[in-house]
Amino acid sequence: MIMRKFILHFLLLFSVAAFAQKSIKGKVTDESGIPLPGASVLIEGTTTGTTTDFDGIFTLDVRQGQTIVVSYIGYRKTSRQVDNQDTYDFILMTDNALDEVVVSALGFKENRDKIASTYSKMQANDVVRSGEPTLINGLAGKASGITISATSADPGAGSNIQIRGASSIIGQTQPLIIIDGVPTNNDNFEGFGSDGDGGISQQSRLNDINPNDIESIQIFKGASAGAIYGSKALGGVIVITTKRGSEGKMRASYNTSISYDLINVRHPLQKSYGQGANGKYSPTATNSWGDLIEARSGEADAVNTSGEYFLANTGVAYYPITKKNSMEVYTDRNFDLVFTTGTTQTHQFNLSGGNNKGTYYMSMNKVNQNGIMRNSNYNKSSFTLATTYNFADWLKNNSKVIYSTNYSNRIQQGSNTAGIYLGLLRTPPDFDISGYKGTYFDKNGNPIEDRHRSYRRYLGNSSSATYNNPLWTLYEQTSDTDVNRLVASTEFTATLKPWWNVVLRSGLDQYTDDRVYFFPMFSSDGATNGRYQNETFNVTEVNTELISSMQFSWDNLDLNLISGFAMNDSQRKQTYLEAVDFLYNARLQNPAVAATKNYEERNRLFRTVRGYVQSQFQYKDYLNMNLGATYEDASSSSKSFIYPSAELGFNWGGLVKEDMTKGLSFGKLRLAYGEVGLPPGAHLFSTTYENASYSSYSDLISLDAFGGGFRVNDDKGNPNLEFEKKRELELGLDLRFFRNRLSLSGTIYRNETRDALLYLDLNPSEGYNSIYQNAGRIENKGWETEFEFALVKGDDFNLSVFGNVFANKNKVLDLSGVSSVNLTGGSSVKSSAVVGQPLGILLGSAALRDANGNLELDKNGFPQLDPTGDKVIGDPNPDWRGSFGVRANYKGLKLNALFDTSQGNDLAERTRYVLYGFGTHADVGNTVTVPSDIVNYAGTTIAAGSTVRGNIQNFGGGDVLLDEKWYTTLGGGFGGSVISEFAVGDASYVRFRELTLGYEMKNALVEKLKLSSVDINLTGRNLALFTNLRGIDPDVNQFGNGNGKGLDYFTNPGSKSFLFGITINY
Amino acid sequence: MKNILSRVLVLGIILISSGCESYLDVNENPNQSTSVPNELIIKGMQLADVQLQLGHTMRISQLWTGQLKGLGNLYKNLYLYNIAPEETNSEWSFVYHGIVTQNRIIQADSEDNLIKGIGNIIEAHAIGTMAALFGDIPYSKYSTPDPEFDTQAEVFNQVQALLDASIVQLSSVTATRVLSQDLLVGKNAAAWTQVAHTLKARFYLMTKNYQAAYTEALDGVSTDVNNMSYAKGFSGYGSTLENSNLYYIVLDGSRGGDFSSADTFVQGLLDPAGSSSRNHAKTDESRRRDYLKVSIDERASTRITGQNVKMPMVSNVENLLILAESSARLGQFNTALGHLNGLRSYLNSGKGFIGSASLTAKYSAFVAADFEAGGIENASGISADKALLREILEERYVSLFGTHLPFFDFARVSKTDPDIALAINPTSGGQHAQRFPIAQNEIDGNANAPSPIPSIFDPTPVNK
Repeated sequence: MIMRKFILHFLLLFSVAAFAQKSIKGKVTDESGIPLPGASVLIEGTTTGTTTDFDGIFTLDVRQGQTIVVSYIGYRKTSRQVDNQDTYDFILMTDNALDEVVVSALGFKENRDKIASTYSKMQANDVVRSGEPTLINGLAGKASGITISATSADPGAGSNIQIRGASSIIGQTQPLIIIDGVPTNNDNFEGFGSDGDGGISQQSRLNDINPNDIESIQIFKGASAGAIYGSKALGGVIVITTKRGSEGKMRASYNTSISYDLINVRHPLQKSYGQGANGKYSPTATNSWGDLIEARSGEADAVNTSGEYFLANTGVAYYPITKKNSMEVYTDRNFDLVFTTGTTQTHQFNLSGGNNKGTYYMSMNKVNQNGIMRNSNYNKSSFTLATTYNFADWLKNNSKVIYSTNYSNRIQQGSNTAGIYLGLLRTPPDFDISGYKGTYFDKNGNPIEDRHRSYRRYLGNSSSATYNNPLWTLYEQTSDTDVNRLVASTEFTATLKPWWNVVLRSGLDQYTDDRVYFFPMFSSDGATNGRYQNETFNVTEVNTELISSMQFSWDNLDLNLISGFAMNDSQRKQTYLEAVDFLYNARLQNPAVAATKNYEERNRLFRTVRGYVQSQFQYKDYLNMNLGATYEDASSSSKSFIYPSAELGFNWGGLVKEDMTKGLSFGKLRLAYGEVGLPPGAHLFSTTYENASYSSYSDLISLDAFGGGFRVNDDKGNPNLEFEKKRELELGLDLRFFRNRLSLSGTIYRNETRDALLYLDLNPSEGYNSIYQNAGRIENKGWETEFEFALVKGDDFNLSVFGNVFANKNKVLDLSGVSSVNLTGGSSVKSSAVVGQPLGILLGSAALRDANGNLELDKNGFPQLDPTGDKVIGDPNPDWRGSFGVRANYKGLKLNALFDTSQGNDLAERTRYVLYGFGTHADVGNTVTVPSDIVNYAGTTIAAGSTVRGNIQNFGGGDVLLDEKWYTTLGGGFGGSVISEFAVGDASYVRFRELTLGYEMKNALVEKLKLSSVDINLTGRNLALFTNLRGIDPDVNQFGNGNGKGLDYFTNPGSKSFLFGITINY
Repeated sequence: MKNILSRVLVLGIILISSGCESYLDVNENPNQSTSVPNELIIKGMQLADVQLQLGHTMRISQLWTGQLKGLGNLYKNLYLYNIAPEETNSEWSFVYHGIVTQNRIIQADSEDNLIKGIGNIIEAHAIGTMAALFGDIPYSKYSTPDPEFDTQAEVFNQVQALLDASIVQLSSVTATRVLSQDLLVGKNAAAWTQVAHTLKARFYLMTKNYQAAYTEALDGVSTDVNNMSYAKGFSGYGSTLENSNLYYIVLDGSRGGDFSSADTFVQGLLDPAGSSSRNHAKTDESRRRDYLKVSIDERASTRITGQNVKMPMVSNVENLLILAESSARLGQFNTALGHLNGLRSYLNSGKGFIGSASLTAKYSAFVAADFEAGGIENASGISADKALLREILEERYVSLFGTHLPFFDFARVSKTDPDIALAINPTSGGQHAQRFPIAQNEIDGNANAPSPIPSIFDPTPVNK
């Protein structure tokens, strides 16, 4: 190239004599006459040139006979030879093949058709329209290859984003979030104060971003686009571009909306049999295998008023029941005391404008949500200021500051005796939860105030309630989160030469998350003596990146050479205070009330450096090639790595067809290869000594409580840790027909992650429980298609349909000899990694089977527990997913509808199964008349004609009666000693995710008020769900945002919403 | 301006790149140390041993030998012998990582024979218990990949050798030294040496080497003061939930209602009004019966479930009973009777248990005639030797409540003396559980684990 330049300069030198230099001037506009600022004006064959100013004007010194080439992104390159004129105006035509301008993974604007990697794009409206109070949930169902799973409908709860299946076994598989070119935090930590299997649904930090500030979202799915980010991009890259002001008059808009949220699925419960066991009523029994309620006398309960009793705060006194007579059933009333109609109110105010020196954009956003569970809430405020400023023609700045704060109280859930659903759903139908708190008087009349009354302690006569009364969970316990977040970034772009831009970007992302969990005395979950926990996360991330972009042009060949260098510094301080043994039954949320305090602190410091080169070649209009390499090293890795990428795009449409206005209007073949990675966790090189506690079953004792001590860590350190590496090859085809009215795109891919990090469970006799090691391999194979068809395109009426279908097959290829890795600790059905199976496969206790897979029944005809341990009992990964939507508008009226589906995914319905054991599930509330003599699990024969509680089933050895004996041993309940296999069900679904009706008013009244428009929106979200699964929304996941999935264990429910919104634009 | 900027940028990149090495050198763990004093490690080993000896598997062993009844959820299933291999994951990890790994660090790093001796005793205690619970286990090949299993007999031999080594280590320690971090004995080397001898005697009894058992027990724990008990050396025992009696903790939690001692074999045995009562003119178990009540609604400071009631692991009481049984086994009737009476006199003096003060406790001395056919301890008319042995075993069953020993005894005696074994019925089916299933984690990770694993109804080799 240097040689070529040299020759050019040499020739130019000689041409001086022939043509005198002169100054020319001109204007560059688009077809409609709008000036194009920043268009490149170059003298062909030289590096001399300029860019247009804000009015599209340029001046340039040229010689006659030279050719001026004008180019602008998204427009056809145009050239003209200089003659004797002094003014040269250019009208650039939009590129024929062009659909839209997109943003590359680095944040630069690119021509869509010149990108060869696979991505999906969403516009601002697509995200905001659904009215989801959190950003991530608004992405669900909107693009192929993307799966959004909510942890629950708790206000502010986080969600998991997964692109093309899991590429890491235990590592973070959520995508990298790039906002305006700067990596942005999407943390979701359980912390010490909450567990993966039970606790509260934690937030996802991406939800701090105000959805209304978003201009567009692009999701890069393949490794080729992510390679530039190396080890940050294992899970794909989501590039978010936020709004900026534009030159011209000030614009303002105000939007407000209110939505009503309802629980969308309820667990069916039986209302026929009371608390007790063996068909007899007992007011202290754990289960509801008691008497038939309608066989009672119906009089008031007989009680003993001479001794102990409980005086509830409701004024009702509860005495020991000597005979249960009441036929009252409280199931629905209890439910309504817990659940209500949630409401979400939002306010959004925007102001923007600018002139030729700079622009501004300001927004304020407020969300006030009250959840479907009483006393749960999420209150968020955010402020954004974004500016652009032009210091000189060659130096521009682009800056942004976001401040976001939220306060939220969410409800304890999951495998947690202080959780809401665990207490509510196990409550017998004949127990009234309303008097949950009050004063207990013992037989001598001694009062104990603020005692907890639960169904297993109906007199509140014990400090241990065993399971919380759900109202205690709602009103006495709190789980508050207080978040303050600041995201600031600034970017300088210097055009050092017409062909050379240098960009310096720097971003600061800082947040504090301050959580307080408060359990007053008499709470369950080990808090009978009270517990106060305060956990804080203080996270600061600083990113600095310097990018050089050089543009070279030859006759038919363009080259964009990008190189960059980036540094990332990420610091986290986590502090945890646990205060127990309250000195009195305090409601003061301060450790001062506690006798025993434990304090823990975790610090994390992680740094990376990255350097990269990318060369994008474009040959004529139909061939583009992108070759890149990224060098990266991280503080937690013992080795650096170079991530390569290569993309090839071939626009063959124009070659095979002359007239692109009929039939095929665009055709392109894409081929891409890339590698991305994931760094090891920080500070894990050496084996350390840890504080420890020991629990064999529900009996934890801790070194702390014995004055402190250590043990060598059960996780062995590993000084040889290195990056996980994923390589991906994909092949795609983009087609457009009938003047771009029908577009189809399809991609097939295969990726494989090697050196996947694992906590390898060592067999205990090796001396350690686990070692963190690069030990796994995992692959994903799949295909994705998207389509959009504009059926009607007119001035007044438009109608289009769109959708996507995608499938991903995941397979764990190697786990270094370990048969399974449990991704869901603490659960007896384990979402696991098993070689040869997809990640997340469900392992659990199974029924004994013979070599042919048939049940081996016991002598009574019942299945038996397979005593040899866990078996594969389900696969939570769907066979395929898809969505389908309709978009229409007639004049100002707009309609949007979206359905999505997931097919072939299993869920371990552990809530249902546990409720079988407890005797509260509707399935175990049936009464049957047995047609012939029949045995139950205990081998007792029930005579023909008897009317008994239970279900008749045939496991293959003839009809048997499933009754209390079965459901409380192998056929229901929890632990490894029940047949968990029978708890697994099909969780396929079709969901009517979204329906929006909008109307844009532009009438005389609006004009009279000097407004540009008024928009009204009606939205229904999650309007209908078609599934065989009962009791729970198939999208929820007990284990929140981890890689384990397919489990429900008293997980908080999902919701559906109806939203009304109005936007006033000035 | 622009050119200056370009040069500054290039210079900047060079400077930054050259600083990368130190910029990235921040991976040392800021939260945890990489070395700590050995004394602080002993404590963690002791808690791991407590959970092995007194925790979940002990309670399961009680479900299987008429001392507890499973009423709901997991404990009900375990009671009915529905046990999955995952049930013992914790115990395997506590022993190999929590005890053996820590002890090997101590043996390698420490110069202090008191710490080393105690470390070895805890390891031997744990490994011997593992062999009794599971039969063949990995031991000599510990810490190698896929370690092969040693036979149960080999494990017991290694345990005896390790206890011998600990006795030698302790013999060189200054008599007055006490380890301040010792939670279990809280006494000097001499006390720990007695514990080592009783453990040797215990394991000899299991392997039916009665002479060796007797000899070791003569040097065994001779007074309660030298017992090894959970939290005996810790003054704050029971001050907060996480340092409390294990029965107390489990009854306090969500599983509290899932098991109870009501209507169990042992309660019937101790009940003066019961049909299978062991009470008679010389024995009144009313108070001890009250002491041994385990249930969510009957937690009390006078019962074994009290928040700071000690839980013995290796005791004077056990040692007396080893002396009694081994001498009886060796045919020394009078010696055996003397040791049994020694225990009865101890119990009669109000030691060994608490119980409600309003209830009676009486343990008068036996005479030889009590064991003759027709005597108060021999209504069935068996030989006096057998009758004495039966009474000693029954006494072990009651006195050693709260440990695995009644379960181990039951498995052993069903083989050696089925005629005098306690008449405990299986909770379901026709067989008694004889052992625990090998941990799921060991099955998963160790290619040398037996496949299939032995059934819980299969006696361990020593009882075959």
